[in-house]
Amino acid sequence: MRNDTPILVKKITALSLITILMVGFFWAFTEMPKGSSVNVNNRVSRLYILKNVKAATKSLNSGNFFAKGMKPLRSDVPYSPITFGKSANLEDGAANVVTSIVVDYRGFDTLGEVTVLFLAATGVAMLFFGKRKKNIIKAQASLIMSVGTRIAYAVILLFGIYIFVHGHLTPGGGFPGGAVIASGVLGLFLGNDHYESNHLGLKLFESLSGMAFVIIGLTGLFSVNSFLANFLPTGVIGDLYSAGFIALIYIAIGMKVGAELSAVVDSMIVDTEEEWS
Amino acid sequence: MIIYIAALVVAVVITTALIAVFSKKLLSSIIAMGLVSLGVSGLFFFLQAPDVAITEAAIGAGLSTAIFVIALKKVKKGESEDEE
Amino acid sequence: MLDAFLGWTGVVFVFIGVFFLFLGALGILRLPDLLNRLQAGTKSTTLGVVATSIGVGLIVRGWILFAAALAVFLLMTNPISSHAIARASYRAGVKLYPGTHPDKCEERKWKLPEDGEEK
Repeated sequence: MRNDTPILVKKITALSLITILMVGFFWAFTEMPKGSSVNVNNRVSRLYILKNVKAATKSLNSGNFFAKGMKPLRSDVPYSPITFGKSANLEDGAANVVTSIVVDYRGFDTLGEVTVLFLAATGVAMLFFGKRKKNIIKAQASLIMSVGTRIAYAVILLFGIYIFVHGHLTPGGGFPGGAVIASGVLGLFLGNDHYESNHLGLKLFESLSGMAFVIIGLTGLFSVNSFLANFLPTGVIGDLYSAGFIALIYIAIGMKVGAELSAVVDSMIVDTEEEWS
Repeated sequence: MIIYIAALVVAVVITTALIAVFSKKLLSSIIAMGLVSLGVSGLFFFLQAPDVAITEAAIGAGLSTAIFVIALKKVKKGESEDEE
Repeated sequence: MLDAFLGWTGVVFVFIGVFFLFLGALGILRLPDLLNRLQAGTKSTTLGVVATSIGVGLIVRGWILFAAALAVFLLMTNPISSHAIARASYRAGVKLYPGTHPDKCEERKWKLPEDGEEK
């Protein structure tokens, strides 16, 4: 839209745009399936929900998958509903379906995602590289802030750890847990004047957790013959100690993302002398 | 019932997005963007994707807003040093 | 008997919470300047959300731990954040309502530390 367009035309255009967006969103919400009436019978996602991808792939290879009418997806296996606390030794014992896809079936993608985040954090650190200035205090944080953020940091750290340890049971996982921990560190920086984080320790921690991820993957390679394969027993669905290696990988990812984002916050918020111009 | 709440959230998201685009002050734009992320995370929750909703709320509404504000502060400081 | 009693107590708590949340919204609409609105938006909503979550925990007995954790965290963080906002607004020179009678900070010449000043 050009500069000399009359303002009335601009306003009418903006208003009609808003109206179209509103109507579209409203329509999308009316078309949204109700939670109980989703028909998973004809979808591939049912394979993931039933946690038996191997058998389904076998039937896919034999040509039974897209049968006429597609009614029973897998007629060879009787349909057995999964109940929490009872079903044991499934192919993937995570109660959270998203986690079982993200970490188990598509674990390699997650490795790439973590690598992208690592590159981003390294780029930020490179951008703000330099000798650290002595902090000149602009606005002194009050006593309430400095004590309160320190108390809140403990609770926030605990909550972040809860999110990524329970990643295979409840919604959440390594990335949100790490982000929550990093926001706690941000609070520490804002509330305390002379707070200095251990930058080297953060980097070391992050690299070690990244290595732990790859080492878990390599263990799968050597014991089950495929990279990032589940090599631990899956246990009873819904238990804390279940789902094999998913909890281990999510702990590694959570620590890595938390350390990484904390390092990003640290290098953003601390003033440095520029080494080059 | 939930569809009316969702429509309200959609209205908030669109309004804050327009504020973020058309606002003259950068700080207001950043705060509006944080509100957009918050509303979008609510929409994800209504669409039954709680994993994405948690991630969006933690990263979009929490961390990235703070990092944008810090970056804006740094840019302003650099500008004032250049003028001196 | 005990179930019904706890359930009705929870309902009473939820109604108290909703009432205070309504007062908070009304205060944000009606009060004149930032500090007053901040008080309405923090104090009444803190009590409102705490009472509501405790009421919900009493009605649905399985959620009482979550509700208590929520209430404790809210009681801890809400006053701190409101304190930070109020202090920042005073520092930034947001104009007070003209009828503010005792402005203690100005009376005692209480000065926030300037640039580069040590403690």
